[in-house]
Amino acid sequence: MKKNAFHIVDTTLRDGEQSPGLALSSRNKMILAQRLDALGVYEIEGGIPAMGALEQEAVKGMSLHCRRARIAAWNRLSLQDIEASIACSPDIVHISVPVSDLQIQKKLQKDRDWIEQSVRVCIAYARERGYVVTAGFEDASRADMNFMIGLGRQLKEQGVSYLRFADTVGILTPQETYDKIKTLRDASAMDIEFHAHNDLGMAVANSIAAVQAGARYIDTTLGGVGERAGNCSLVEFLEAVSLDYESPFRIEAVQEAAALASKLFGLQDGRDVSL
Amino acid sequence: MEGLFTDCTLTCLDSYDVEPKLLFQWLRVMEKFPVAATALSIPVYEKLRSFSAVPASRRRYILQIDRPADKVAYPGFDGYLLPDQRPSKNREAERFCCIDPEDQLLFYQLRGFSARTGISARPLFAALQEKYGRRVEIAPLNAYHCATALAVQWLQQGGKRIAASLAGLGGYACMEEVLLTWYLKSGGDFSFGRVALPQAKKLLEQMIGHPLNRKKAVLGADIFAVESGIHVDGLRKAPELYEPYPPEWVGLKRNIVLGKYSGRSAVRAKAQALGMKLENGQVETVIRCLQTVCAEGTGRLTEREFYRLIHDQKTVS
Repeated sequence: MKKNAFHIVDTTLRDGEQSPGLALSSRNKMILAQRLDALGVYEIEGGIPAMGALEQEAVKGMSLHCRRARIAAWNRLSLQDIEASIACSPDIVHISVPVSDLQIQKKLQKDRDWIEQSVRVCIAYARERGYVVTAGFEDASRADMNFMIGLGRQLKEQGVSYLRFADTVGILTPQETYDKIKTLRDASAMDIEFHAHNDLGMAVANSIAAVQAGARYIDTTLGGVGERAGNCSLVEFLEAVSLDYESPFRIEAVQEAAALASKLFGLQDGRDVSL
Repeated sequence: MEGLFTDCTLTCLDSYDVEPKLLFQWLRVMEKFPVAATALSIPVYEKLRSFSAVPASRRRYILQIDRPADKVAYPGFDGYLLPDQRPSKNREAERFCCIDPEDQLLFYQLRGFSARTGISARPLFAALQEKYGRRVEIAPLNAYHCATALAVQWLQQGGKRIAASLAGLGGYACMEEVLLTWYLKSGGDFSFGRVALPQAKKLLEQMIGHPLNRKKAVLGADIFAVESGIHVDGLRKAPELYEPYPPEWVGLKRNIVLGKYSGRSAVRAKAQALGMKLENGQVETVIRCLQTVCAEGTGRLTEREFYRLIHDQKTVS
C-alpha cells in the first residue's frame, strides 16, 4: 500500500452542476459543500463568481463556513472574471486556460502567443493580490505537449500552486493518461491535478493512471455527475484506488454524501448505477 | 489492427424474464455489430429455441456450458465455452476453454482481473500474450469500475480477443465503450453504430425491463445535451470542441437544455432550434429567469416554459 498519494478536488458544485438540467439552490449548495468538507475533501470547486450575484453569495458562504476544505472559484482567462472571484475571498483562484489549438483557434479565435500573454497577466493579477492560484489546462488531451510544457514552466515561475490537466472531452485511455501526465510533470516540474470525463467509460481508470504517473490531485464529483457521460465518481474512484493506495476516506460516508447529492439534484439514481 | 469481440450479453440474462422473440431480434441486431462471436447460456438458448432456430449468420455462435456432456445435448454450435478443470497458477482470472464440436481448442478465455486498474495490468497482460499467443480471450470484470479500461489496455498492448456485454450487463466490460474506443484510436469506420446501437440499446432495455441511465457513456439519452453558455457557444462555432465524437455515430442528437449555466448564445440557439426569433430584451429576460428559477427550482427550463416565458412577455410589451 502506498501512502498519501492523492488529494481529492471535488467539482460537484461546479462541473457537476454544469451538467444540463442540474441545478442547486444556494442553500443546497451550502449543504453539499459542508458535507464534502466533513468528508475530508482537500478542495471544493465552489462555483463561477463571474456568473452573477447568486453564485457569488454561494462561493462567499462556502469560504466562510467550510472549515477544512479549500474553496476554489473558477475563472475564464479574464480579469473581470478574476475580479468577481476575488470579491468572494476564495481560498484558491482557479484560472482555466484553453490549450488545444482547436480551442484556441475555433473557440477563442486567438493564437498561442495570446494565450501565453493572457495567462501571464491574469495570474500576475491574482498572485499580486495574495491569492493561491491554480491553472486548468482545458482540452489538454488534444493539445500540443511542447506548448503545454512551455506554459507549465511559465506557471511555475509565476508561483502557480498546481496545474490541472483536463481531459475535457473524455477521450483518453489509461496508457495515454499515464504517458501525458508523466511527460508534463517531469518537464514542467509542476504538481499535477487530473480532471477526467467518462465519455468512453474510463474516468476512474484514467484517474488512477494519473495517480500512478504522479498526479497529486484528482477531480471527482458525487455520483459522477457532470457534462455528457459525467465526471469521475468519487465513490468509484475511492473503491478502485484503495486496491493500491491508502485512502483516508470512509467509503460509507462518501456513499451517503453521494446519495444526498442525488436527492438534492432530484435524480432518481446517480450515474454510478449504469444499468 | 484488428480486434475479435465476443458479445456475451446473452449469457447474462438467466435471471430475467425475457420474451423469446427479443432474444431472436438480439441475434439479428448483433449481425450489424463488428463482433466475431455471440455467446449464449443454456437457459437463454432453450428460451430462444421455443421461438425459433438460431438464425444463420456469418458470426460464430458459442454456447456456454458447465460440463463436456452438455456439448452432446446441444449440437450445432460453432464453439462451446466451458470451465477448465486443470489447476491454474493465475489467481486473478478463471480459465475457460472454447472448443469446437470436434473438441479442438479454439481459444482460452480468462475471466476476471477486476483487481487491476488499467496500466497496472500491463506486465500481467504481456506475460499472458507471451504464454498463449493469439489463442486467448480476456473477459475483464467490472467490480472496481475498470473493465472497459482493462479491455482497451489489452488491445493497445497487441491483444486480440475481448469478451464484453452491452452496457456491461452481468459485470463485464461495456462492449459499446470498448468498440468505440477501439474505432476512435484506430481511425476505423464506426458507421454501424448509428442504427445498430440505438436498436441494441432498446432491445436491452426491453429484455431487462428498465431504461438505461440517461448519462450512460455512449448509450445514454442525455449525453449530448448541453446547457452552459460557453459550451453552447463553442458547439455553434465547432461541434468537436465539446464532443468526443459526433453524436450521429451512436445514433444520438445534440440537444440544448436551458438552465442556469445557459448564456445568451444558448438562449438564441434554443430559440432558433424551436423556430422562434428573439429581441435582445427577451434574451435578457430569459437569462434572468434561468438564474433565479432554475437555481431554486428543478434545474431546467422546459420547452413549454420557454415558450410561455416568451409569449407572456410579448403580451405584456
